[in-house]
Amino acid sequence: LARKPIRIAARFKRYKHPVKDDLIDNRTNDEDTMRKNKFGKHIGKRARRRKHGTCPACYEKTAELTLADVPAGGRARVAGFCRGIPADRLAHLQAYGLAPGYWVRVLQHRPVTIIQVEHTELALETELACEVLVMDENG
Amino acid sequence: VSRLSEKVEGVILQNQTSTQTSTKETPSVDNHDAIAEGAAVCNTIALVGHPNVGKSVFFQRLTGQFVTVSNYPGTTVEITRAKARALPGSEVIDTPGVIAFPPITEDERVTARLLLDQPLQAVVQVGDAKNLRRTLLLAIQLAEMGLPYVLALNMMDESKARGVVINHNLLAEHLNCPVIPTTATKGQGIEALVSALKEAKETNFRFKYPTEIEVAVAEVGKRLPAAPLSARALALLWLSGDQVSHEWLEGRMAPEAFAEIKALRESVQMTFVDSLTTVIQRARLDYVDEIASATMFHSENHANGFSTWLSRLTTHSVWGLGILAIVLYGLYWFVGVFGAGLLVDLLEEGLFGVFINPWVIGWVTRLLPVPFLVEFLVGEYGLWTMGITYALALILPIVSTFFLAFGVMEDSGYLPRLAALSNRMFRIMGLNGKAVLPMVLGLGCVTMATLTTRILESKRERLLVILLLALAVPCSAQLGVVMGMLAGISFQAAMIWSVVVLLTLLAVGWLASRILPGERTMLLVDLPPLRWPLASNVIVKTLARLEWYLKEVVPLFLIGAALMFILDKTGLLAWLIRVGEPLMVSWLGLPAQTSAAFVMGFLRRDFGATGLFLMGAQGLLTPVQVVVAMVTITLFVPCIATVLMIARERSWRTAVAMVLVVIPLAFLVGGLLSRALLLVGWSL
Repeated sequence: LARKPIRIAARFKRYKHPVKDDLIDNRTNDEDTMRKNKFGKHIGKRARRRKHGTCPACYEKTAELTLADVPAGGRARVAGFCRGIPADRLAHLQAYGLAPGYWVRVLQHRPVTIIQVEHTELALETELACEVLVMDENG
Repeated sequence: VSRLSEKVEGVILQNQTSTQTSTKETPSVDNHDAIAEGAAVCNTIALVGHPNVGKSVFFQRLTGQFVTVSNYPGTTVEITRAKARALPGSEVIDTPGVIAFPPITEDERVTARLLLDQPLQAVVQVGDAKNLRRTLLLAIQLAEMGLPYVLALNMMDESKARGVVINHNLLAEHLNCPVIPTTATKGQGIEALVSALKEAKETNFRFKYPTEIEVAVAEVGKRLPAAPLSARALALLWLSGDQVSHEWLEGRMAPEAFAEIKALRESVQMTFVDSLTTVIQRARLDYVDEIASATMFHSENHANGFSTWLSRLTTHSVWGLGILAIVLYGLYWFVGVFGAGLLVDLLEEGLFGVFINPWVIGWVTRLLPVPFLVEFLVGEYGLWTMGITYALALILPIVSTFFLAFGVMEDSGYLPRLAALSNRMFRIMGLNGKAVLPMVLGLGCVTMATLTTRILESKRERLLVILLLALAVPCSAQLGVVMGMLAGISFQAAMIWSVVVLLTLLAVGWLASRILPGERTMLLVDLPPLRWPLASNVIVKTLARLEWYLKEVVPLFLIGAALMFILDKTGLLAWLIRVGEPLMVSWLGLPAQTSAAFVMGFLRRDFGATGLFLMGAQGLLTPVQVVVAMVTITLFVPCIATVLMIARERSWRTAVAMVLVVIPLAFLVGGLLSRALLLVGWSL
């Protein structure tokens, strides 16, 4: 029973990013690692849905890590943004310090995602967090 | 890259040849110098900066004038002016906070418009020292404007406590402007700031954008009309897609010249995959990172343990709700039980009922031999016995307790955390959690809260929140009266009232969000650190609010009492009670006299509620009737001041439409509740 949801999730055809195909294939072929993200933490239901489906914000399929995938307490570096993000929203996020290359710490995901950028705490909706692509401490 | 730059040069050359004739019609770039000369004699200093960095504290320190200071972003939504004490002949302007240019929300646009319309003696940026990167992003935009500019790095105490050390001399060299470290709440650095302002000169800060942008800025800059800020800054602002500068330029440029710069912008945009806004901002961010890395040093992070722990709890999905329940119960107890119960009893029945009113009535009867005038002053609907007694004995203790409790909540930084907690509820109404701020402020005064809707991002959201404020958010005076009456029955009665009003709010919000066109914006809100409220600030703020409140309430209550007296004497009140009888008695199940209270409610909802309060105190209403009457009067028309504010912020059409929606809805909900309570057989 415990493995059932994972088997169901595995049925979804995974979008393969042209650049990171090898990395994704290596990760997803192994059922055990699929339950964990790059940080070695268990991926929550919301994050799994995000990983196997489409981005709820721009309806685009992407397999990269986002702010929503970083577990609470984790630290990540902003890598970029979802391609469908409107320019004004992007400008707003960047003005708050969520710019590529900047470090953020995720404090919680529920009821909304709360992150710390420099010494400011920002509350943002999880859908918005899904639009921010990140990389872990090893890049 | 080389092909792209060739292309952009080609496009620009093409535009140059096609626009040569039109440039003659528009003022040349030299006019900027004329404006700059004008600015040298002007005497206005603008305080600009991010929300919640302490601009209003600086304003208080520089001018000695009171403005509301709180711990949440969006306290200031309008411009305030006053004379500077230490700078004779100069005036200081407090502006709403701005995250970055181009502005997104309506309050940010107020600041952008000010910079475009007002020639300034100097700009002081109030920046948060502990968030240097954010501060610098705005700093380089302001420094580019070519105005005399000073950067005040505020909250140095908090930044030191967190282990952030900034080399402000090096930063001043990078930005080519004075940088003053300050802690405004303690008055540190204010003198240095005043000295820097006295010597402030126009900045010649300049950093290089990508070549294509630089060429476009030069070309657009040549065609722009004279403005208080530099042509380069204005061109960059306009290229970034700023709506305020777009409107400003459209109104001042010849249509052909404006079409040319638009074509120029489009052609430059063609050379980039990303939008120009993104390209320009990315260049700035890279530069900000460079300066920040060179001037800022981090030691260990010494965050306050208790404050951080409490902050986590207040936004926790389970504990956060528990804390909210405690806060709400505390508010109910302090305002409803203590303020509206104990204090009102002491003042109304004790001080006014036993001493003041009999004394005033005695003197008036003795001094004035005309019975008509006696009745006008101290009769049932007399100016003293109704107007002044309502305002001072009933409303004053209630609003005092509410403003005191509210001041503590504002200064603690708890309000923005409610945005995170309530986001899911506001999603139902097509809004995001940020809407909780005007809603909660509406509990203080709906009129002021209508103005605070400027902090919301889209027109659709502002309209939705204004509708909900006008419908289902009671102001402090009304809330106090309602709480006082319901607390007198039972806690269950207060819960029924809360649930019905909340459900109406949700249902109307849900329906309106589906009718109004446009999309919902996602939540992105800044959570300020939790701080211990300063007793002095809370008390000063409460007193200032009480003064403002009494200035607004007493005249309106006097007009209301005079109006009721006239209606009573002309027999119109009896007629209104007769006409309203089917609605009151048959539909709402209330006594016929309650019509009078609803007539009073047209002037102010709390005036009407106070009328019902007195009827309840006289034992004319049963518990069920009290609950029905309170729900109906809560949902009843907003007060006259709010209607005027809606008309000012939106339009008269919107204000009238809202009143026409709200009145039938209030009676509909009240009638349905009355039937439901009778059906269930609820009683005391």
